[in-house]
Amino acid sequence: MKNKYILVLVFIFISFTGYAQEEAVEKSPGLMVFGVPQYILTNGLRIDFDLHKKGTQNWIVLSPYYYSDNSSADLLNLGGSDEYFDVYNYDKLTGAGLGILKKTFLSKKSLTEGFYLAYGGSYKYFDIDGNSYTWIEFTGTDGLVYQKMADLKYDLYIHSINANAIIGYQLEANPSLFFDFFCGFGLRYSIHSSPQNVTTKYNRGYYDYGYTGTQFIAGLRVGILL
Amino acid sequence: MKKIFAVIFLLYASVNLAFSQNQEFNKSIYSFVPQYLINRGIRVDIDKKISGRHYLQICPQFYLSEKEGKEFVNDKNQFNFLVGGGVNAYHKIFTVDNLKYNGLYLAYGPSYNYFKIEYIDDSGDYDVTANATINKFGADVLLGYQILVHEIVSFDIYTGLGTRFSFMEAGGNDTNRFNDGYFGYNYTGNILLLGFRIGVAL
Repeated sequence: MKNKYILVLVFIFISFTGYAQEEAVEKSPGLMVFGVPQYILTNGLRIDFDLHKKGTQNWIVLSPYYYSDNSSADLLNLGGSDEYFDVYNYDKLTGAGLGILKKTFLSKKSLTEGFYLAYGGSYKYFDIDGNSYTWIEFTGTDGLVYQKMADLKYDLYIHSINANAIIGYQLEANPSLFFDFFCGFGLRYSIHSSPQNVTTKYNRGYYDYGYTGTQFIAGLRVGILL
Repeated sequence: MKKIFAVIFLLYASVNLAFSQNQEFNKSIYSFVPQYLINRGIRVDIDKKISGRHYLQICPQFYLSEKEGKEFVNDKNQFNFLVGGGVNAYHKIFTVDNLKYNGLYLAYGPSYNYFKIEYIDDSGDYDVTANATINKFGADVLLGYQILVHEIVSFDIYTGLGTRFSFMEAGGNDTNRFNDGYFGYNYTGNILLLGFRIGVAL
């Protein structure tokens, strides 16, 4: 009789343990917030919001961007020098954008740590104002398109769209602090427009505001679990 | 009765053990090749198991670049706009029967690339904007070592030899344009290959 009671107790204990394990696996981590420090090199701020999709290994990463600079200076010298004849010398730059990624952890062991695969896209808009010598395009009397230098106040608008795929490793430094290292590739296409027909495109490399082409992506994110 | 249970348990355990040992790695591996981005290309490889230690590796590529030229002197590989595509296909043979952790392999196969390039042709009396199309054919033999981490992430380093034959329809007088070294889009000749791939098993 005593043995039967013990057996029943063991079964009840086991069944509760099973419930507890299921709870632990299914409990969603909810929200993580990451900063992406390397964007400051190009006068940008990017804060990522990682939202977990319940019951899956998937996360949705929302990445708002904000760019601002009034000094035509940054760590990568994207604004050019302060020389009047430098066509990349601007008075003011503002920009904003939004990125969205679907991120999937490749191991089922953890929802917040390990290798992951992510893919998605982003849109950015830049408004660059200048007041100096720059190249402009005009149509001659013969119908051909020419370029000339002009000293004028100008606006340059850039719409930039991007699609990318990355692989990364998210590391849990402690239960609430995370580091995320990633690399991958992307494709970026920029459309330029200017009421004054300025031909400067800010297309000097992967990192430039108006870049068009394939691109290598690599970086670090630092974040917390809320 | 206890003996019957013991026999059933032993049978179950042995079958389970045997199955787990022979469990083959059948996932496809999707990799990207970062160094192609130096030449403005995206290459994504798909490694599919054919049988045993034989894999088929398909490597589609896409190229896109627009350059904002500041230089007044053009080099042989300089362009304003480039778009292109291509594919390599390799038969890959591992030295191990079942790739689960790592393995040495030999791969061989053909390659094809197409490029459309807008550039400044400065070979004549006047600089003119020209358009060229390039068809590039080739073949490679590779020796590589692939490592699988937790059967999830793949790292692959490889080296090898290849040859390229390029045919350019030039828009200007200079028909030897973009044929300056291994990285030239119009390169004809033999090449030494060296690369790295990072991928995931899905």
